[in-house]
Amino acid sequence: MSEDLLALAAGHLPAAVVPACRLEGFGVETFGREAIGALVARYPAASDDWLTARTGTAVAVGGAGAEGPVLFADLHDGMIVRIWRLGAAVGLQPVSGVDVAADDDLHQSRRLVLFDAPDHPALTGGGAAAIVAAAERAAAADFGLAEPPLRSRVFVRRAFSDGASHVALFGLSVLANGARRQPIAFNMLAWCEGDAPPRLLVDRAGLAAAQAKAWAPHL
Amino acid sequence: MTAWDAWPEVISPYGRSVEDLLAERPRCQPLDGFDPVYSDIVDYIVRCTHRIWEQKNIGLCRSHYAEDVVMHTLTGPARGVETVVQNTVATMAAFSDRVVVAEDVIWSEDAPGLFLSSHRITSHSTQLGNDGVLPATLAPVTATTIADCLVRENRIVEEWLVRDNAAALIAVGLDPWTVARAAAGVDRTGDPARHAWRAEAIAEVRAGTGATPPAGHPAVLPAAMLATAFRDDLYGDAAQALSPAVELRWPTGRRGLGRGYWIGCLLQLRTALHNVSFALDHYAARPLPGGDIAVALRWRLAGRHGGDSVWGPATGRDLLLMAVSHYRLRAGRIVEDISVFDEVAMLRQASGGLGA
Repeated sequence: MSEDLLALAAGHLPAAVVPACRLEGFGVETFGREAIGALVARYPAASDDWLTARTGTAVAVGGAGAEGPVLFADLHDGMIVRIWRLGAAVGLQPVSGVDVAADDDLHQSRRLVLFDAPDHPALTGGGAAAIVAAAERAAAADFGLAEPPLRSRVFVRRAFSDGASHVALFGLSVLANGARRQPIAFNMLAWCEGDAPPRLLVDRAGLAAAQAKAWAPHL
Repeated sequence: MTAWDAWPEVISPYGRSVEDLLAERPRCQPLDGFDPVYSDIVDYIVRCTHRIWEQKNIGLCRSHYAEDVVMHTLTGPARGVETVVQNTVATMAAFSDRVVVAEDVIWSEDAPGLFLSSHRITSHSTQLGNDGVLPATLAPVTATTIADCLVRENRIVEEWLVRDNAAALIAVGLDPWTVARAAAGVDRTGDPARHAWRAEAIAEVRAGTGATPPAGHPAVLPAAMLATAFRDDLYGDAAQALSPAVELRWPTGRRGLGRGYWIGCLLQLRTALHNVSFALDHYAARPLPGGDIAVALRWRLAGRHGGDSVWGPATGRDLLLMAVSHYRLRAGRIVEDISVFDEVAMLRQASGGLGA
């Protein structure tokens, strides 16, 4: 499985990608084997050194560079059913849609991290504590915005353990600071190894696309 | 009604290759009156869709739909198998390379031999041919549809179809409002009796009839969630059914995470619809790998377009919405909500279309 994700990173489409696979990456969402194959072939990535982690239901590979890329996939019976690719911006923009005005907190006492351990049965050992700590760091991370955001919330979308490694895919919901508080949503990945500080990687492509997007909570 | 988790050997198409899905297998579930090629109800839905759409054997509609089939959409019912054939031909002529990918089939056996299949499809295609008023744009189109099919003895006898039409229009460069207003203009000409179905449907929803899942059925959780939100306006209480990091995929590109995002989606509808009524029309559930459960709900809202909203300025008209939601449940909470409705039809109603 790690080999399949490395092949995707290199721009090739492995047989394990199912027809109904969805890829979030490069700033857009792409559905189907054919379209995913065409997209990854346009933006092959090279890295001399890759981290890998896997469990029965998920696999992740991460390039050694500061911008990754990192690929995270949902697995089912050895097939790849969903992919997230986090990496450098490539200038793609998603098709426009309806934005939704939302309150992430539902309380005056704000929570940085939205996480429910039973959602992640493959997170074992001290994984839950490690991922929550990494998510708190992610919420406070410098995303390179013009000024620090008013607030950042981290939704733990996926998380699993592979031995002493704990890997999580975060969805960030950020409200920019200033006279115009633009909502910005993008993904991050946390890679925790033992007691070392977690490696956090921002999906620069998703962040750039979200920043460039006009806010339209209507048709 | 057969137990929701009966026939565990009838498995979801989730995570399966097309070669696996289309491999022929011996019958593993009683299917009286069905063609021998079908092994189970999921195989029937996936395989006949493939034979009709990708193998272009449109005539198979005549052996897979009842002669007097009624296909319900939010633009009105289409009647008869020949209408199904002709509509399929037209779509295929415009989108000739359309691939119809099964994402899930959540089914129930509501009476002996009577199946309801909630089939979630995402299709991708290129608009290579003309589509009615629209000349070929050569644009790629990806759109999600959920088809609820009532099936008996190899034939679909009734179907409820919801499609993310606004996303499809935006993909080919069209403005949903422009298309909706044009259709509404046509609706206001000719015999208004052809739109009587909409007033009847609104009256049905207002009457408060509908389905109620029995205690212990997995559909109880999401059904109560929607009822608590739409009937009682208790959104925070309703959202407790969701995981804190639930993933939402709603029509017209609504993509988000968390209970607050779900509430935001509902408030967009509720702002538009005053004096709203909610009806649950059907429910089904099936086990998924790893202990997750898939639940399908088909539901409708009726309300007065009383608020300036996502669907434009208030018009005072009564509006009808039909949706199908597919949920993934894990550890007693909803971790994924994929809901589909035709938002162009909502704009069409708001523009004075589809009858009084």
